[in-house]
Amino acid sequence: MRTETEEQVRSILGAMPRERASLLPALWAVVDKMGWVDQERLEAVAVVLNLPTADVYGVASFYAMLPTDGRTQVRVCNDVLCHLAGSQHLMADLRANGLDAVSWPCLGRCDQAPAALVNQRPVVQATAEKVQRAAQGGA
Amino acid sequence: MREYRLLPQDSVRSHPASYERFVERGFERAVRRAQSLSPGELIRDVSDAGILGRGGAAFPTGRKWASVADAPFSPKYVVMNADESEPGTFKDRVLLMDDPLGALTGMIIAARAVGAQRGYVYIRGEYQDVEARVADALAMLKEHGFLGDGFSIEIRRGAGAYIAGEETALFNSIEGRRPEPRVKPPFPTVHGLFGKPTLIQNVETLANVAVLLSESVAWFREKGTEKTPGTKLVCLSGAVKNPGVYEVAFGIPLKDILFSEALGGGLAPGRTLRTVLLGGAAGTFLTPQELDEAQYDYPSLRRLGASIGSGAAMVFDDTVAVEDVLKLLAHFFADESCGQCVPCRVGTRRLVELLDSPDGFDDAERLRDLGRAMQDASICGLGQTAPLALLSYMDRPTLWKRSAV
Repeated sequence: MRTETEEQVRSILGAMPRERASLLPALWAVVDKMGWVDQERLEAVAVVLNLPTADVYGVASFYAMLPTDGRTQVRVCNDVLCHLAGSQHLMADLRANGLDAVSWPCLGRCDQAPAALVNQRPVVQATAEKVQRAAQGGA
Repeated sequence: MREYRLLPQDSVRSHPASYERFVERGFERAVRRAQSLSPGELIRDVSDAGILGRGGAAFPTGRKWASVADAPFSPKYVVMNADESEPGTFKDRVLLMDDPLGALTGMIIAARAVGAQRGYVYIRGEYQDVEARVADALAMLKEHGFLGDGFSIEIRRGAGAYIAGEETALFNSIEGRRPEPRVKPPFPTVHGLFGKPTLIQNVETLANVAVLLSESVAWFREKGTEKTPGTKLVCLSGAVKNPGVYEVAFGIPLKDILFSEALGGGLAPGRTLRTVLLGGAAGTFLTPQELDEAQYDYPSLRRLGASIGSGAAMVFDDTVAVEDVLKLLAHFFADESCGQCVPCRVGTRRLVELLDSPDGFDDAERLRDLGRAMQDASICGLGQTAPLALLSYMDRPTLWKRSAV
């Protein structure tokens, strides 16, 4: 019997070819439409694409960026230039203010350090205030 | 000093993804010209222009094209590698945001030259603003008939894995597998995406093809040096007044990139230069003396054991200890090692442990042994090059903290 999650995933994947090469786009489509990809949704992707669940898990868990729950994703670059621009203090400030910020490898915005990513949105020359505003959905 | 070929002049105001921009920048002319040339003539032009790959390895682009074109299997693929994710490197982001049609034009031309019907643009998941810009550009090209008839392009979004930028790992990612690098040979030109001949190029390389075809080989070679014609995007970051992406001709004095008012603009008042990490996270630390002597070109830098790499130039002043930078780099590589092969998985971790330990930097023999083992035995470029910046530092005692003032 098809579960409700499976039906949702099937409809999200639409006409996407049922093949292995569709796996990463399928996982992203689920994230884009449903917000995250947890174990149940992951298993649904496996069923719909007709792939072993273990293979889907092996791929999905390799990537750091696919959210597994609905929390706001706050990523702070902690590589060389951002670190020197005080990103570890920014992390501490954000955590002190209750935001679940995680350290992230280079975001490719070294010319505007420190950089952060709130969900999919870049925040450059980031301050705790700017990041919090972005996390609340503001400008 | 500051060039404008790959990057548009400030006076170009049309929307970066618009047909107007496509015409204004000469890319429509480039595509039309390419259509009037045979695949062999296109490959000859790219070879004669002397374009070297801009992703870091500087492989002759024409030779790569010929290898894919000559490979006896089909279908063939063209892949644009926009999985830019290394500390100090951000040129592809700027290039694709400011002028996405250049690299896409290069891709269309490349597909004709090698005989590909399908292309992929692989963009890292952290660049979804860039992805949206590229999607707009692709939609415009399709609407105007430059895509869809014989050649189509699909965007693939990465998901937070530095290693996926390694070309064979990128193929695995597109194929729906874990993005772990493959053993080479066989090389992508004969056995790439889906096991088929594949031309994979950096964003900037393809943008060079577009400007070349919009003008001519002679025009292309007017800038740069005899051995390395053309221009390069430099990612300037750190302790300069104006960090950013700048286009310069190959062969200009390296110090001009930092100090010229049109480029880096020099350091903050009262600061002195400690070092520049040139080429990327696996680049070379240069002393201020070396910086004074060098030209921004492969032969000149090779004499110093350095290279242009991805175009990164990270500038550190006297407030920064090189040892701290090395620790951060070691953590980056250890975090981003895919774990597939032992020399890299264990080696990058051992480097972190050694550098984080109180006397780690003193055990030169052990560091060199470890570095050599990683260089010799790792499957891919990540493990092979992770120790390079450290080794370059060890060869330059004036950069050591213990000898600094």
